[in-house]
Amino acid sequence: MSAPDLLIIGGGSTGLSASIVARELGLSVELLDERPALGGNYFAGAGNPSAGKTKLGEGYAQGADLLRKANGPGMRNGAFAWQIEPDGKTYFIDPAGKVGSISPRRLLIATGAQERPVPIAGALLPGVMYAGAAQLMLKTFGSIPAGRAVLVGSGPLLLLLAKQLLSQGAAPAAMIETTPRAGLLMTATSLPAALKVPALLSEGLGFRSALKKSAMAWHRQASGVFISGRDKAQSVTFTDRHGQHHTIMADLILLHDGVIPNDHVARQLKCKETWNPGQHCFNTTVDQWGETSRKGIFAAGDCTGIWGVEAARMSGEIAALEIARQLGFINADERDRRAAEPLRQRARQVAFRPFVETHFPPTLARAAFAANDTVICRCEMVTAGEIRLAVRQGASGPDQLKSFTRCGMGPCQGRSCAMAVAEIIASETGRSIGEIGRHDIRAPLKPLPLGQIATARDAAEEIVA
Amino acid sequence: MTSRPEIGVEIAVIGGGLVGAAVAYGLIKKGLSIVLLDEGDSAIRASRGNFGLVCAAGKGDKLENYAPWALQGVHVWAEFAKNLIAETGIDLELEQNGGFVFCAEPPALKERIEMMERLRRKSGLDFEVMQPAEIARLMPGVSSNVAGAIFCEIDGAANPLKLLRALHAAISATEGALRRDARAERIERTSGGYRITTPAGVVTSEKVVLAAGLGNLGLAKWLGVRLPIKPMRGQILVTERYEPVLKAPSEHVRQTMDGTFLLGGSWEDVGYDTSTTFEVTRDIAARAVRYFPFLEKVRLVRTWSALRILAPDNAPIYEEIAPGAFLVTCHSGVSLAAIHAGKVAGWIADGALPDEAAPFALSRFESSLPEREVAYG
Repeated sequence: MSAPDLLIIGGGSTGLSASIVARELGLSVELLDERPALGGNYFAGAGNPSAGKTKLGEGYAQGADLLRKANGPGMRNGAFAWQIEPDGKTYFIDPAGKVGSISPRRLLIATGAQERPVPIAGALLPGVMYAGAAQLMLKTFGSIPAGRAVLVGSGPLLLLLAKQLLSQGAAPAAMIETTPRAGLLMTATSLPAALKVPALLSEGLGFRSALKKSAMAWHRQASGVFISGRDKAQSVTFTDRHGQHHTIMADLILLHDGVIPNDHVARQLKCKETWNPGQHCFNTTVDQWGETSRKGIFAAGDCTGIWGVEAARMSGEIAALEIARQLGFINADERDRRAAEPLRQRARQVAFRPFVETHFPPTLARAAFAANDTVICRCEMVTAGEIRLAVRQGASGPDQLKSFTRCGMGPCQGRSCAMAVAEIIASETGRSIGEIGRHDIRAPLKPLPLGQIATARDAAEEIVA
Repeated sequence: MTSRPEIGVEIAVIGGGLVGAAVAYGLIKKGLSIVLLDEGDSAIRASRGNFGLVCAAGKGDKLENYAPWALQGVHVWAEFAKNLIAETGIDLELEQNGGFVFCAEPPALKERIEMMERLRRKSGLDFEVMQPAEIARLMPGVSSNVAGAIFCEIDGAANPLKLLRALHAAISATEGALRRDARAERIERTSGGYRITTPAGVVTSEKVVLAAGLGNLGLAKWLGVRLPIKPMRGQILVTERYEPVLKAPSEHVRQTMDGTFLLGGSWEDVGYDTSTTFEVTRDIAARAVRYFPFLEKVRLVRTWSALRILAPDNAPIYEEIAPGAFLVTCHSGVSLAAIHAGKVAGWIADGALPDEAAPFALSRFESSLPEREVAYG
C-alpha cells in the first residue's frame, strides 16, 4: 500500500492519453472525472456503442479506441475533485456522495476547455444555450432540443456543430455568423504555418462548402446581436454588413464565441498564469513537459491554453513521460526518445493556432462594450453598469470588486464572469487585462452539501495504490 | 514609472481596510483634508474575510476596559449606519436583533456564563442564558443537542463588504481623498510632519494614522516601534441561499440578508498562510450541522480564510507612537467601525489621545514585548 504515482483530474483526450502512457511505463494511476462517462468534451459519448456516431466525423471515431486503451483500475467517472491542496492532495466526492481523498506523488490537471462566456442582452433567457452544450447533447443522446434552431456567433465549433446537425438530419434554420472578414495582413502572417497542417485547413474549408449547399440561411459578418423574448427566447436581432437590421424568430438559440481554458484547478492552486493576447484568455504557465509553477503539479491540454484536441493528446503523453522520469520509471534519454515524436507533432498543431485565432477573434464576448444593463455575473445577477460603478468607487482589482458587488461569489465561482470583469476593469482604468487578472478561486470547486463534508470524519478514506 | 507631483494633506491615513476607512471617513466629516492610502487588490485585507458581527458579547475577556468600550461601539452603530446609508445609498444590512453564543456542552456553557457575569459587572452589558426550547423561538431548526446559549439583545450583524464599499464610496466623494494601489513603502519624519512614499506618488502630511492591519508591523518600524500583534487565521464557509429562518447571528452560524449562511469560528496560529484546509472546513461544517441539523442538505458554495490582527489581549491598540503619528489597530473592524469614525477620529483630529484611550496604549504590553527584534511579521 502506497500513494498512487499519478492522479489525473479530467478524463478527456489529455487525461486519457496521459493515463495510457503512464500505465504502460508502470506507474499506478488514478483518474477523476466529474461526468458520468469519460471522454471529455471532444470524445463525449465516444465509448457508447449507439448508432449515428460515425456521422460526427472521423476524428471523433478515434475516441472509442482511446477510451478502450485507457480502461483500467483507478478510472473514476462521476467523481468530482472539489478541493486540491498545494501538495496535490485532492478531495473528491464519489457518485454515492462519499468524500474520498488521494495524495498522489504527482498531479496532472487535464480539465480541458469551456465555452467563452457571452454577455449579450437576452443570453440568460430559457431557450438559449451554448453550442458546446448542444454538441455534448448530440454526442451523448444523439439529438438536441426540438424546434427552430438558430446558431449565433463565431468559431470553428459553430461551423462544426452546423455540419453535424445537417448530417443528423436536424438542419438549423439559420446561422448568424459574427466572424469578421479576415484581414489580408492577418492571413498573410499566419497562413504559412497553417499550411503545414493541411488536414485541419481543408477540414475547415470543407465545412464551409457543405454548409453553403444546405438550406440553412447563413448571415455573415453580423454585429450588434441581441436576443429578445418575454418568458423565453423568441428572436435574435442583428445588423448585417450593410448596416441593415434583421430579426429572426427562433425556439432554440445556440451561442458560441470560441472556447477558453477551464482552469479552476490550477487557479485554486494559485499556479502562475500569463495573458495570451492572441487567444484572448489566460494561459497557465507550464514548461515544455507541462510542469506548472508549483513543482510536482502538471497541467496539460486545453486547460493550459487553447491548442486543440490533437495537441492535447500529445501534451498528455509528454507530461506522462516527464512524470515517469521524475519518479524514476524511465531515465532522461528514454523520456527524450519517446517524447520526440509527440513534441514534433504538437509543435505543428501549435503553429496552426494563430491562423484560427486571427480568423475567429472574440466577437460577442466583448464585455468592455456591454451596455450597462447587461448581466455579467449570472449567479448574482450583477450588471456591467454595477461593475463600472464599483470600479469608480474604489474597486481597482477583481477581488475587491467581488467583495463590493458579489460578482463571482456564486456557485459557478466566476466561470461565466471572470473574463468579462477583467475586461471591464481594464477599459475603466486603462490598464491591461493581463495586469488586472482574475479573482481568487476557492474550494469547493462546485457546491456540495454541508452534510457530506460534515460526516467525512471517518469517510475521507485515503485511496492508495 | 512616471513621477507624480507630491500631494500635501493635513492627515494621511495608511490602510484602506475597515479600520483605516472608518477613521478617514470620520476625519473628513470633521472637515480635515486627508488622503487614504489603499494598497489595493493584493492587500492581505482582513476586512474582506470578515464574519460581520456587530457585537459586544465576550469582548474584554482579557482586558476589562475593553468591555465598556465595545459596548459603546455597538451603541453608536445605528446612528453611524443611518448617516452612511443616507450619504451613499448603500444598505449596510445592519440588524441589531440580538446575538447568540452557542455552547455544545454544559461545562463550556458554565464557563461562558461566568465570563459574561464578569463583563456585566464591568460594563453593564446585559445577557440572558437560553435553553434549546427558548432558542428555538428565535432560531427555528436549532438542535436540542446543544447545552444552551448566551443571548445579548444589543448584538447583531452587518454586511462587512458593503460597509467597506460604503466607506470607500463616501471617502471617494471627496476629490483625491482615496488613493488606490498606494501601498505605503516608506515613512519618514520631516520638519513639518511626515513624508510617505507609495507607488502612486509621494504624500506629505502633518499627521499620519497607521491603520494598515498586519501591515502596521512593518510601518511602525519606520518610526522605530515594535508592535505585539500577530495574525490568527479564521476560515469561513458560505452556503447557497436559503429561505430566511435565523433571526439572530452567532459567532459560528449566521444567515445573511442574501439568505446565505456564513459558518466560521476557527482560530489557527499559522502565520501568514491564507489557504483553507479540508479538516477545518469539515469541523466548521460539522459544528454547524450539529447546531442546526437542517443545514445538512444546504450546499457549501465557497470557503476562504482571513487573518485576524490580534494583540495578546485581543483588544484594540490606540497610541501616539511618535509626535502626530497615531496607531489604530484591532481585530474587530466591524464592531468598532462606528466608534472609530466617531470618537477615535475626533481624538486624532484634536491631535491628542484622552484618558479614555489610556487602557488601550502600547505600554500595557511592556513586560511582554519581544526583547530585540519584532516577533511577528
